[in-house]
Amino acid sequence: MKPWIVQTKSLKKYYRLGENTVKALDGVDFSVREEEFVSIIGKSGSGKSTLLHMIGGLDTPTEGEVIVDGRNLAGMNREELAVFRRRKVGFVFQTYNLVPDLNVYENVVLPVELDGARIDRKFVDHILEVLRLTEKREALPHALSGGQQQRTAIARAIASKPAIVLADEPTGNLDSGTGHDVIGLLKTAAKEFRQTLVLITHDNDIAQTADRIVRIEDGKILQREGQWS
Amino acid sequence: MKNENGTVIRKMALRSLKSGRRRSIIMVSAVFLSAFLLFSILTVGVTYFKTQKIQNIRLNGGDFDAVLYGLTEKQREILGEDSDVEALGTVAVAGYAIATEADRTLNAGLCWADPVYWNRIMEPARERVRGEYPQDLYDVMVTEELLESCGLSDLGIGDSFPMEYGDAEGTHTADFYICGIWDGYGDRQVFYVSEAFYRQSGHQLSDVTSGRCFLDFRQNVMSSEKQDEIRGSLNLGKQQSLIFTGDYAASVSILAGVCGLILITCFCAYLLIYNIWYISVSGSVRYYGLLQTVGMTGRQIRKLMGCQMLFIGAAGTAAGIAAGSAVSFLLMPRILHFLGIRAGGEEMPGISFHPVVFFLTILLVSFTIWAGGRKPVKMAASVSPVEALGWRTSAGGKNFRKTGRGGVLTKMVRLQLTKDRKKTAVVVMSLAVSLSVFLCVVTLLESQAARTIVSNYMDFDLVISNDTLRLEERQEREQLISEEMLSEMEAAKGVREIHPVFCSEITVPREPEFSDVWMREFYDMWMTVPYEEDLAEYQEHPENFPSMLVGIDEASFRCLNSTLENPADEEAFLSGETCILYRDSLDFSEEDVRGKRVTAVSYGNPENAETFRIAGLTDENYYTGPLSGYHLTVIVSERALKAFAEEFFVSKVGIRYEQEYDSRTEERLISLIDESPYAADFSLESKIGEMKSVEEAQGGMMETGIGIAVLLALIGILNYINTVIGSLTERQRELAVLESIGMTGGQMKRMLITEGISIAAGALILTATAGTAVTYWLYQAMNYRGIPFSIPVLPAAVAAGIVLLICILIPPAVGRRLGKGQELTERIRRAE
Repeated sequence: MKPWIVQTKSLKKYYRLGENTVKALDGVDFSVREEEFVSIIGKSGSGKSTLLHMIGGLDTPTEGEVIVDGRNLAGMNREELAVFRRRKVGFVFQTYNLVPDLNVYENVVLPVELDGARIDRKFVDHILEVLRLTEKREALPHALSGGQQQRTAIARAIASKPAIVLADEPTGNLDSGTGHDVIGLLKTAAKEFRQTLVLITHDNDIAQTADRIVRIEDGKILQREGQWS
Repeated sequence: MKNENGTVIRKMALRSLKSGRRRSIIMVSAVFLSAFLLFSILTVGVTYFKTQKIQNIRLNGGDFDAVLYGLTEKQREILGEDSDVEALGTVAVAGYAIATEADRTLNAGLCWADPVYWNRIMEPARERVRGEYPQDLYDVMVTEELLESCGLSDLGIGDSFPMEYGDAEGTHTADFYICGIWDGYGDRQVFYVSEAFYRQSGHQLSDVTSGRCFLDFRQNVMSSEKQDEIRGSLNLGKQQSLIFTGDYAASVSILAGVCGLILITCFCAYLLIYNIWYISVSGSVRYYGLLQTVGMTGRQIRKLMGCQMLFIGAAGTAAGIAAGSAVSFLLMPRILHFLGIRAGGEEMPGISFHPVVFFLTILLVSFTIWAGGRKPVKMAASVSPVEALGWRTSAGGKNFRKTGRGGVLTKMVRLQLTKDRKKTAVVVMSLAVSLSVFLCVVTLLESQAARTIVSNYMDFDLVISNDTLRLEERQEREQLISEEMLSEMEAAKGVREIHPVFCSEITVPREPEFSDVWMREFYDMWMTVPYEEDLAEYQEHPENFPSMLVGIDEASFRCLNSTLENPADEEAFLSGETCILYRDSLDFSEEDVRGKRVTAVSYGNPENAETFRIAGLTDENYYTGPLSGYHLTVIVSERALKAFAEEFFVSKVGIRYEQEYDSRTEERLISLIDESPYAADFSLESKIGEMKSVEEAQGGMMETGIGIAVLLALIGILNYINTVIGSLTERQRELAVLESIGMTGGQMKRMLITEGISIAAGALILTATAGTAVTYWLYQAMNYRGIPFSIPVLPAAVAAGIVLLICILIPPAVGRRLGKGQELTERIRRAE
């Protein structure tokens, strides 16, 4: 059995909203093994994005621990978190979040360049090929379709060979066909490059393709489906 | 059908301004800064020019625009009928003071001033008057300074004193009665006498050596064509000249310079608003798209945006004018008062409100808001709702871009600066324009500085002259500046070098080739009798027509030679082969005399003669003999003079200190003179003294100018900070995305600093080139004193350093501040 790569312990995230306190995460214990593909599902505002952001070091918990690849994120400062993100995590956002002035290739290699590492051109070319972006390598984001932009975001997420890819509703802005296509590519890429994949989705069909499904509601994990294979 | 939706739109406009508080604050700040800049700079600028006008009145000794030497009755009639002439005042030289009981070498004139001159033209330059203007024959109006220099410092109003004086009728002695004492600016070495005294002096207003007609014109600006026209209408005699004051002669060009300066300041204010306005309104296009989706028409959107502009514009302009008023009318005078700035013993004139400045500020700010918002408004109203929702302020057009080379941060900076070239250009330009205006103001100020205005010949700190050489009786002339004294001066602590001028009286015998031609022109220009009348006497008794031989050292020659149209050969001059003549305003060109020979004969010894070849003509009157009226001033080398002359004097000595304006050295030299038994017979021209009197005349002018420069610098910095805040607020999402994919704080800081440095470099290059060119043009337009153009290095370097520092420090500081206290996810989401 593969070791745990992500572990959260009694993870809490509370927000103040006027006079009320919103419990986005309320004591979540959640773990993912290396190379596992986990889907997180739940209603809007259930806390799934918050959980993903905590794992990726984009947000800090109110209470509890997040351990990724053996490192506790709670002890890291902003600089260390940034370095952690570019080395260990690849993000895929619903709104793509590509840098508008960089072309596809530059967007893909950006985390590698920021890390000061040598760009593995063969690897990047291969990713672009797998994600069917070779033709578009010099295109600017605004000239791409939604699907192409999301595939670029996926390429960027895996280009730095991170241990874990976190995808927050990557198909939210895509039509059903393109969405399935993108997920297929994401899965293929993750498998090929032996990466762990945690995916948030509303789409049950997509969720079903995961090794394991986690349902979250009102900041708490309700049930676990599927099993480690 | 008319749809009454004005109230709803106004409400929406207000609400959206409130909800987008940060953006609204940035926009109001930009308008505020512009209005503040324009209002305060123009208001303080008006005061600056007022104080400059006062300075000129004080330096000229009266409020006049031109002076005519010699005034005939016909000319008085012409000028009296000229509707451009507002006032015509006359001063007539009615003689010269020779000696009092206490001083035998007086250096003062006797002048009669008519009521217009005394009561109107000279009045603004006077600080106080006690007593009345002379009415009786021997009444005099004096200054305390004049009494002191005549050894009469114990006397006051009501006292009398005997004085020997000369006029056109000869020399006389009379008891003069002090009927008044005045003090102020201008020539204080004058005994003002009554009209009755002038009438019996034998002098005539129509003589150029006596009559001075001061003209004050109705208009403040007069073209050189108009000046020539007036000159032409007066049918000036050969000896006469109409001289316009420096600032009036160049009034059109000065006005053009001032307009240029105002225009650049307006441009600076325009850029200040435009950039922020453009960024901010463009950033709201998505919001307007959203409004379209709920049914708002393009016209309603235009109205909504118009409403917002009105609110922001009104708030910013009102606040800017209020702050400008506070700074101009309250803070500035307090600062000046605190610094002890006074204008000649009085408080400097208050900073005054000018309605034109008020309206110009509102007009320009309104225009800029309209111009800056025009394109985004058009865009917001014309794009489809879907397009508007996806609208971004990026360089549109290109779909592909070649993969850039170089480091990732450099590439990001390059992309950031080039993606919206217009925006970058406006930021660089606004910084460069404020830097250029600053440069312009400090350069103009430097040129007005007392130290710059005061410039002695060869930049001497002190010139000591032997006044006994002015005495008519030759036997009374003394060698006051002896070899021993020269050695003592040279050895005095703090003295770097001394340059004595030697002189010896000579005669130049009549000969047809040169002296005859020269004398004919000399008589034509300066004498009241024709040359033919004196010709026979000149032939017979050349000793009655004295000239002066002047000997100068090597350094003085080099300095003099550098001013000649065609420099003379140094070796020939130093060896005593050639000489240089003082032109004395005669109508000769170098070609007329160069190569001709002038013969000098020792005064009293016709046997001793020497001939020099003429190598050039000079207008520099520093070397003219101690007495005016010599027919010829022949300048030769010191060596040549000493070899030729049996008797010679040191007429003056120019002294330069180790350190310019060193008052201790000056004190040492003055005490050396005071020790001499002939102390009263020396006269001194001190650069320190002159600088002090210019400083006094300037009042608070320089400080007001410095106030303008400081305000400009301050507003320039605030503008840049505001621009950076505006720009980074718009880029918040992009920066958050970069951070989410692993850009560290350090990398972000480096990227923002590099952007800042690039902007600063662009602005500095632009300032160093175009800014300097504009500064040069404006400087020359306003440089009626003919002071050489030089950029003050220290303020320019400090300004450049500050700009660089601000560009390095501000962007990362703003970036840090914008991201403070917000989670990364929140920043990404908010910016969406």
